[in-house]
Order: sequence, then C-alpha cells, then structure tokens
Amino acid sequence: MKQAIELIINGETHDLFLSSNVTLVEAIRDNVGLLGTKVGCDMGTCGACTVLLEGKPILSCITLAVECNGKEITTIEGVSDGVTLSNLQEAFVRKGGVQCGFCTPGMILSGTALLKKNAHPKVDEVAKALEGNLCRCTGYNRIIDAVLDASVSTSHLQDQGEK
Amino acid sequence: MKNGIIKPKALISLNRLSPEKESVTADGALRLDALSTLSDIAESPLIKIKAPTLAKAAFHVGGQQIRNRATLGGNLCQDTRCLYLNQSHGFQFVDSCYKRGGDCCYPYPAGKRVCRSVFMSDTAPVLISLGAQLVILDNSGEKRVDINDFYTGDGLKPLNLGSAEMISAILIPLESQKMQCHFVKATPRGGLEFAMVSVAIALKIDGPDNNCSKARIVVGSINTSPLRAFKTEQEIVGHNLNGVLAAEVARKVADDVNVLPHHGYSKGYLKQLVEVHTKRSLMAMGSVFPGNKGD
Repeated sequence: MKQAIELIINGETHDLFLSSNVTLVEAIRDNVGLLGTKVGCDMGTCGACTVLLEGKPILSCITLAVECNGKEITTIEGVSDGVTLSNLQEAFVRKGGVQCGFCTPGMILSGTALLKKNAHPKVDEVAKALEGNLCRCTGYNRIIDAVLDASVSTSHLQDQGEK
Repeated sequence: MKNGIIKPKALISLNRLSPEKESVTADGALRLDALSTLSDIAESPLIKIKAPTLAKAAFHVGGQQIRNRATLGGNLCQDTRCLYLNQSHGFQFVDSCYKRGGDCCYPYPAGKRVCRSVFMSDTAPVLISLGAQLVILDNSGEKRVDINDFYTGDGLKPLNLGSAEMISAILIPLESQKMQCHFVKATPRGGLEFAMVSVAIALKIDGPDNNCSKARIVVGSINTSPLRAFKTEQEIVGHNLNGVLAAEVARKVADDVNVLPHHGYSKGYLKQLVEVHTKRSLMAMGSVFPGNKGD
C-alpha cells in the first residue's frame, strides 16, 4: 500500500509516493538518488546507514521512510557546505581516518552530532559516541584522533568569533 | 522481521504518539512512559538521581543510533535470542525450530518441546531489582502488573502480555529510589553488544548498624527471563552486613541461578562471570560491605 510522504533532506523537500514497508535508506538511495548513505548489514548492527533525524543519529536501514514524514533528515551530502568540507571532514583527511571509506559517512554523521552536543569530548566519550559505527579497516584509532582533532580546530574558530 | 522469524499480517506504528516526560506521582513513584527512548532515559537528570542504575542500563544498550529510537517498553518486551534462531540469512538450516513453529531444537536436540532461548534485556534486570510495576493497557482499560509476574520463563512465550495488551508506563516505587543499587553489564568489547551476563542489585540498608532489610539480586542474560537469586537474598536479609564477605555472597548467587549457555559462551564461563561480576558489584557498594576493604 503506497503513501504520499514528504522528506526534508539536507534542507530540500522531496515528495515521495512509496510503500509503507520501504526503509528510509531505500528511499534516500533509490527514490531520492543520494548514494552517500551506505547499506552495510541492512539489519541495524553496523552503522553504515547512519543519518541524522532531527539532528539525532539513527539507523536508516531499520527505520521506515513513512515514519519520517515531514521530518528533517541530514545525510552525508548535507555535511559539507557545497564544496567546502566541514572541520570534521578535513580532520578525517588530515588524520588518515579513511581507508575504504564505506563506514565514513556514518562516522562523520555520528561525529558531527557528538561535536554539536559536546564540543570538547574526551577519548572515552568519542569512543562511546561512535560505538554504533563499525569499521573493518582502520582499527578506529585515527577516526577517534580525527574527531578529537576537529574538536580542537572548531573551538579555535569559535574563539576567533567565526562559525 | 528481516530474518523471517515473525511475519505479522499487520504492523501498527506508535511513532506518532509523543511520550510523556518522566514525572513523579503523588505517592513519590517515578513514572516513565513506555515510549520514552533509551537515550532520553539515559540522559534524564531526574532518572539519574532517582534511578541511576536504570539510566546506566539504558546507556549501555546497543549504540547511540539504537538508543535514539528504541523505547523502554520495547526493550522490556523484546523477544528471546538464540544463535540458531537469529540467523542473518533467510532460512534456518533445513527444519524450523520450536520457536519458529517447527519440531526441533538445534542446541538441545534431545528432549521435550522446551525452548531455552535467552532473554537479553538490560533494563529488565534493573527494573526487577527496583521492584517496578508495569501499567498495562488493554481494551477494557489499565491494570498494574508487578514486573516479577511479567516474565514467564518460557522461551516460546517469554512475556505475560496478551495480544491486545501493551505496556503504557513503568512505575518505580519511592522506597526503591532510596535503596543502594548497582548495575553491571559484562560484554566482550564494551559497545554495541548484548551482555554476556548482567547483574542488578538493590539493597535496603537501615540505620547505622548496616542492617539489610530488603535485597534484590537479579542476574540477566543467562536464562529465558532475568533470574532473582532468591535463596541468597533470603540469607542476607535481616542481617547486619558488616561481617559479610562479598566473595561469599557472589559464590552463592552463581550457584543460586541456573545459567544457560548462550551466543557461543559456555555455561561454566558464564557462571564464573556471574560470580566475578556479583562480587565486583558488591565491593563497589563499599559502604554497604565495609568488611571487604582490601579483599
């Protein structure tokens, strides 16, 4: 049974007509065409499908699209400012936190949500915030370094009165 | 549903109902909406004060993405688990096991139609230790059920919940909010995991003589429902705890509860974990067991 819903993704409204059993990740990838959100395990155990729903990280592979009707969603495509990478994205590049890149969109979104809530997290707080995102390549150290590095570089900007 | 274990004809979303914020009732009980998310429970300043072991248990379920959507009621009503049942591929060997409506059991092949799939909730052992009451809604209205009566111990039908019933709220009595409590979830890596074992303890200590007037010691994730170490509780209630050794109580608890192997862990290993984590929990409640310093 199909329903008409509205998903507000990265500030843009998308009117979709889809079955009530379509997951949010399927809607984002197949209906809207944003491929940055990845399908890893497709059962809520790896975090590759992480998106922000009203600012909070959730697993889009086990969330129905119809349950997000009218709500604001942020995908990885919405993190950078067009061409300019966010501080966290720059930090991932600087610190070598990306190998195959498959977990990276989810990591960036979880990390972004953390830094918004807690601008100066300690190592264990970063690890706890990222516990829902698995990485098979890096061994996590450089990912945690990247989040900590971004927390320093962002506060530097805040001190200077910038964004 | 993704693994085909249950195939409901219809699914009703509660997504559009907004949970009530946690509140205190007229008689001082802490009232929690069953639709509260685990992240709201984990971060609530009120719950951190009045029921800190519940906030801790909620904080250690899954990862933050799961906690942001999972509800307290949902966590209490989760189905039991078994490696043979919860297959990630679309089929389960050749024949369906008892829990899937079939005629066999893979880990326990000989014997009667019994299912020993394990109940893995982290919040349930804590709420049992806190003597919580559940407010259950059905067509005729509301009723209160003691959480001790909510779990059947039957792997095939773990909950005492009718098909037209749902939990609407959880009440934690005022008396429990004043008990000395502790919770630990033992996991191999520390994140995004089910427990190997969990231990939830609540002790009512009266007066300067350190007399224990009430004790609830609950072990989770080792049987078809959380288990209370009733015999051990009765042995320490009514006694002064000054001379009691945490190590002895822990040994008794490990003997008191029937530990089932699960998720690849052996019975012997899990039983030892129960003992170790009970002992560590009691020692962490240092003021209650002063004789344990240096043990």
